Amino acid sequence: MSAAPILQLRDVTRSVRLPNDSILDILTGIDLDVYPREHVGIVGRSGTGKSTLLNILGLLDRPTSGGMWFAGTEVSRISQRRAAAIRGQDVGFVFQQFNLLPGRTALENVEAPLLYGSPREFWQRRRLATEALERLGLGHRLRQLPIALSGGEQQRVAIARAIVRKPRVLLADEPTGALDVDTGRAVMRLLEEITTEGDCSLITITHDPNIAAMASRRFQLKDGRLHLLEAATAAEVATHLGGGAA
Amino acid sequence: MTRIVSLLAEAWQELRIHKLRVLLSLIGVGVAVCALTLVVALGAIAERVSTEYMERVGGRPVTLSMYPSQLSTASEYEVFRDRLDAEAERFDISYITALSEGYGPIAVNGTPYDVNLNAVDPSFKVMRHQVVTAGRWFEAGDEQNMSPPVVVSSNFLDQTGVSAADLPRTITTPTGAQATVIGVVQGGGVMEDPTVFFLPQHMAVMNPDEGFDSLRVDLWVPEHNAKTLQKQLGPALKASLGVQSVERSDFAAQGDMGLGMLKAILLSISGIIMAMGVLGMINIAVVTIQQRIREIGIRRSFGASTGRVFFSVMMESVVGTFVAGVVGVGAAILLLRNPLVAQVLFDGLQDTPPFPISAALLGIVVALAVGGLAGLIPALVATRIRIIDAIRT
Repeated sequence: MSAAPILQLRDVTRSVRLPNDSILDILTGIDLDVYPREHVGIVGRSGTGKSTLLNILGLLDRPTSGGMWFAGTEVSRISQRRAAAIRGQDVGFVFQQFNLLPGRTALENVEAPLLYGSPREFWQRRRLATEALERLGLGHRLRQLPIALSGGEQQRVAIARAIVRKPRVLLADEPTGALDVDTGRAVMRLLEEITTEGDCSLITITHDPNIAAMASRRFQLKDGRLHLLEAATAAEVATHLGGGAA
Repeated sequence: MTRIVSLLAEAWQELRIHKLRVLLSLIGVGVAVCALTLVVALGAIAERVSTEYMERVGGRPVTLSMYPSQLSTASEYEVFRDRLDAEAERFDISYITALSEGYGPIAVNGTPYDVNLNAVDPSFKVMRHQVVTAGRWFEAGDEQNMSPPVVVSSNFLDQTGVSAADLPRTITTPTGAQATVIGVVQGGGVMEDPTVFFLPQHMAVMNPDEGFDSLRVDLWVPEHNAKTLQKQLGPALKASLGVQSVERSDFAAQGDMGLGMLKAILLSISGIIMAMGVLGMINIAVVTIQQRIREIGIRRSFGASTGRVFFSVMMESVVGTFVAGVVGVGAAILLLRNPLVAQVLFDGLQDTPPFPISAALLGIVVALAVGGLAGLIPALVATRIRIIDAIRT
């Protein structure tokens, strides 16, 4: 990779204090570089700290120790206000359960992040949201409420919402977890397309080796540590789990 | 600017989405604001009604009174008035009336009725809020009529059976002379004696027993420089007319006419009503915010800062109560302008009082304040939500 990494983690740890006052180390010595337009896949069993890592990467949580840089800026100790600003501008989230705002139409859901954007984004939010939904093939579903949309459509609305402010990093937490296999593949193709077409990095966190196998670089989170998986090893893992790497 | 508009847009969207919850929580506030506005408006109207009643009896603020001495005939009174008018003109005083209150019999169709016989000048109508319901009030030149013109109170018609449609109508004065009823003014209850107003120039015909002995002259002077005027007017009138003293005589000189207690009671009731509305709203708001934790977490994930979340939740409350306040004030206005209510409340007033703008403004301001107060607790709760926990909820 010749370009400077958009995200850098150095010796990041995350620990929590349990009710009995003991310390639980969830993440230990995490080192990770994510480059522009790169798709990074992180796999791991349940309870290995995938979501904790994602929260740190998305500035929703802070590392207990270690350093983290976003586009060259140290962000591991920044204020919540600054973190919110970076998150709003440069990070998009795609969740397993879509997390669409209930009662709002697809268009209103995609407009929502623009309420916190620049004046230009706020005043042009209708146009920007419509464009994002049209890009994802939902131009005919703008006025539909989430409950009237299929799972795949809901996830596409969530993706449109995640990319509407043109983030530099897209974080997908089990993006296909609530979808059937075909729809899941279609959603992943969309995310890949967004990554390759724009100046955006995609980090997918999943326990599905098939989804992880679509990434250009894959890591396994095990015992709180991140292990780089070579392509062949990833295919072997996927085969071992009964799937096939795409 | 964009930040404020986006806050309002977000708040409005929330209110639109959660119509039922908003409606339920705001009904109480709307009703409370309506009640508060009504109570304050009624207080203001009661004050106005009371003031007008007091001014009818004792004169408008500021009324200065004097007792001219040595007047015994109409011509002497006219000379006195000419001099007084000349002095009044120097002090820029436009409203002057004589006032002599007597009592005597007036006959209608040969039947005598005991009535109040009050000598007044044309300015009395404005100075004492007289409302003409039929015919007309005195005009310049009426003093030269051969048959003295008189204006009667409305209960004169009720007691004598004379119809307003019969005006002008001839009646017989205590001296046996004929007088003409030219108009009717509002006033006088069933148990009260009717009043017959006449011009002082007709004192000899209308009330010879009382004559000019107890005649008083009232001057309505501007309130802002009444004290200065009183100081200057006294010596001037003493020198030119021999008047011993000029004293303030309207009831307003004695204070707030006993309305202080009424206002305090009404405000206490309003406070209790509002407190109940606020408590209901805070209750619903706090419960609701617990159900919206996930939504707030989602918003935080795409960039809503802690401050933004605080003000968003606060603005929802403020925008909501503002709408409820407008509806409440509107309902209060509609209630008070209802013809049936207005008839009961404003009967007997010279002018139907407009809805007190102060009550409407107070209603809106209180609604906004309630919104801020009721939004504070849920807004603080919202800022303490942990994003990660909220998204997983």
